[in-house]
Amino acid sequence: MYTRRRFLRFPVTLTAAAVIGPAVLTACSDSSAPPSAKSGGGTLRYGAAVEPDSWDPHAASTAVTGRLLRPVLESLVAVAADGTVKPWLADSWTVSPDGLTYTFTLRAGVTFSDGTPFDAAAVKANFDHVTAAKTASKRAAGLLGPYKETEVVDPRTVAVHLTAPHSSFLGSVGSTFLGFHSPVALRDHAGDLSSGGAFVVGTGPFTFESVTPGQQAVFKRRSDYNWAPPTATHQGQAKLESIVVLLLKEDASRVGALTSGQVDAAELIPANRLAGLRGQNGVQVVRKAVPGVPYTYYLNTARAPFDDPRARQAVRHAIDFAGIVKGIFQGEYEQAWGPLAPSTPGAEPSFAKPAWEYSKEKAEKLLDEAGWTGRDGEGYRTKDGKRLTAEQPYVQTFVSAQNHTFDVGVQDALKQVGIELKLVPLDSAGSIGRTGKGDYDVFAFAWQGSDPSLLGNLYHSKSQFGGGGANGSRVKDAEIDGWLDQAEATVDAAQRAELYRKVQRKIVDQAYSFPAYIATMDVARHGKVNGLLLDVDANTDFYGIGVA
Amino acid sequence: MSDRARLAPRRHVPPWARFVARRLAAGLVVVWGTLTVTFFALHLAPGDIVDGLIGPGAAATPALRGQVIAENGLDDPLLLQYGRQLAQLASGGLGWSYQLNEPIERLLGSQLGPTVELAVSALVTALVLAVLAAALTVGRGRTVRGAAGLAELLMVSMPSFWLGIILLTVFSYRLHALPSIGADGPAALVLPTLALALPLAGVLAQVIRQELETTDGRPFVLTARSRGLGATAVLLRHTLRHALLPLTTLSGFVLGSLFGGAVLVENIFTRPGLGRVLANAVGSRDLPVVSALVVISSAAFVVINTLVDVLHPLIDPRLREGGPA
Repeated sequence: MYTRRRFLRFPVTLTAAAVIGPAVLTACSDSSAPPSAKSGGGTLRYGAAVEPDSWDPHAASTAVTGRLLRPVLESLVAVAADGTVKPWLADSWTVSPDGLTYTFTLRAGVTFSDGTPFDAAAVKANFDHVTAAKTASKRAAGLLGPYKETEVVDPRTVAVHLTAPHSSFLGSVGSTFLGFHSPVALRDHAGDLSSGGAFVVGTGPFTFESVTPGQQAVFKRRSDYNWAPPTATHQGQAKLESIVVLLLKEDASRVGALTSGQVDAAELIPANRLAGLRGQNGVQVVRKAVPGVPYTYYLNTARAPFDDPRARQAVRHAIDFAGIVKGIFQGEYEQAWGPLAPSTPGAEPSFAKPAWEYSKEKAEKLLDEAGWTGRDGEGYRTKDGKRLTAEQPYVQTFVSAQNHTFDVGVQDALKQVGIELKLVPLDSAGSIGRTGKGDYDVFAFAWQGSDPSLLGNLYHSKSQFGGGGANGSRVKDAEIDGWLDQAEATVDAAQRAELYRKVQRKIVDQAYSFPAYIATMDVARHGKVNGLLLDVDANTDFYGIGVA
Repeated sequence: MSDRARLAPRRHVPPWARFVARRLAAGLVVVWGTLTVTFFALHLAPGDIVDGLIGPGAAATPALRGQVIAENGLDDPLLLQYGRQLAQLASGGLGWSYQLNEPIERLLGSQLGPTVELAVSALVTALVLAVLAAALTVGRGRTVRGAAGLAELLMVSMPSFWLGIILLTVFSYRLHALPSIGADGPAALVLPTLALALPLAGVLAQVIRQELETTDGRPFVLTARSRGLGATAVLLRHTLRHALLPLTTLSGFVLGSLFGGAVLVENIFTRPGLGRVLANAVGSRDLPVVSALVVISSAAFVVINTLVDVLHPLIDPRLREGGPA
């Protein structure tokens, strides 16, 4: 059975970016902190919920690839919890006034674990690898955006040229998906990187020792590590001696391994197991709302019946989201109101509160107005003898059991106002085929990310399914397109934020889509594990963890 | 042809060797047929194979689709792709995974050992349990046989994955007696083996008991008993041997299907294994991986069942008379 891990697996294309502006275009590094004197250790056994499709973040599509390789592969910048960008492997940077060139000054003294120095040539080799046709990058190339080329100015200065302004670029390079492999590994083992293990060599506080597909991945501490970003909890080498990540895809196995003490911590604990775990002695749950787009229902605005805004609003009024959320998630999660979860940097603050009401009467009235006044033998509404039917394709392996239960709850709510919702199970390829053609009425998915620029991938008219985007509602709204284009091009942080807020308000106003609930990342740990924190993307930060 | 020359002195080849050669040749056809059906089935299934490879939600830009298509030759005519696949496997190499972007030998390398380990230990355990259960209950009173029959039925009806969860809950989560995950050492093998073996033992025990009961009334049993042989001696020397025939046939089938068919149990116990790889590969339409696994598991099927057929005349002298034709 699948649960929320599938939700979190849903890939993000434009992600992890940051709110930037002229004020943060240059920054200074804080590299003076002394290395930590501690060299204690211990091993953390960690239960991960998803197995990567590839251990090369440049090629991978699964979010978990980035999550698990963060201790090995590092980035030019670090994104703080509030979405601001801090120096990391780059000491400082400048952006050209036209927004087309980002010039980074690299930190001195950084080496890969194979001894190769980290320099401008290494940056170029990596970005070239991301964009090479042979890599067939499923995620990283999208993060680079309108990438043109990387230029080595001198060993410590590198310039990245874009073909168009891309305001989320700086935050994107902070993602593990644009982390740096050793140029030696890229040269000698480009074809082996996806296999993981010792082929993957980075600058991080841990080295990737080995991987057994379907079972585990092992990481070991690097003793000469001394370049943690200012967002980190300490400096110097990591507290843990080694990390054993067990790939426990089944929820029951993961929770069971935790309760029986075979793992010290486990991620993505399903909502229905949280109450039981909290009661057990020593177990604590670390929680953070997952930033990005909540599990959201997208109504196909390009064809009947949902080309009519009244029909879309009727659906929204008809569903008792609060009741379904409470029933399925046992009070652990909250209803969502806006296109972005409130924990996402750049989310419209007014959508932390109710944005519409649950009212069957209003739903019925809107449907009457829209002309769906007849009734057939089964009680469904009709117009000109045609039943009010909507099809929702879904992929069983990618929709969690809980989300499917949610869909059934929605189906039932809609039936009560005379709308027939057909849930159509398909395999992944079949679903992509249908959504690409626009042959559906409702489609639902979540999308993890920590920058409002992901709205462009979901609501811009250019971002249709199959064309590099996931515009589930098939929105073609000139006003939204304009705001999104301006936000992408501007270098003014305040203006950019306001543009994205306008987009969010219009989406809710037009009922193009509506979210179901706000998921949280729940990581349960035993008492002996300390310093377990979740980063801006709600991912476990292994560097700061210690075991007693 | 030189083949013909080599085959010329076939009169001197012992009949069993000829039999094995014929069976293996037929097996080759079986493997080829399975591969062919799999290849075209995956291509005919609704949806585009490229979409399966790229995966859901990923920014399936036209450029990325183009890269994936060009990289894997997916725009070539289907028959050409099919031919390439056959040539690849005929050359002895398994090829390269479309989706995981790594050599299939490496992908399967760490998975084959645990699969064989689990399949063999599950079969052996099931056989031991089944023979014990049948031998201990056959010929007993109505109540004992009824109870045994009921227990077997229960075992048979229990899905392995459900049984696995029960075993985990009791022995790992509550008693902390055995590990719930991984494939390191014999302790980690106990629970997955039981999860697979108990339902199998149910089936096998039913077969054995039925065989024992039908042979029980035969004249040769009566003769043996009249010679003064005890019930146990008759069971061990005579009736059990009769049951061995259907048992070996069934075991061959079971062992073959355990190769790549233990995916649910592998998932629950987080064991590496071929079944898990196959399930993932089918889901993402990773044709080279699916083909490689189909070839491996159908070849295992053929080899095991040929072995079973070779064993039959050794078990049953009646089959030896005219040679195993």
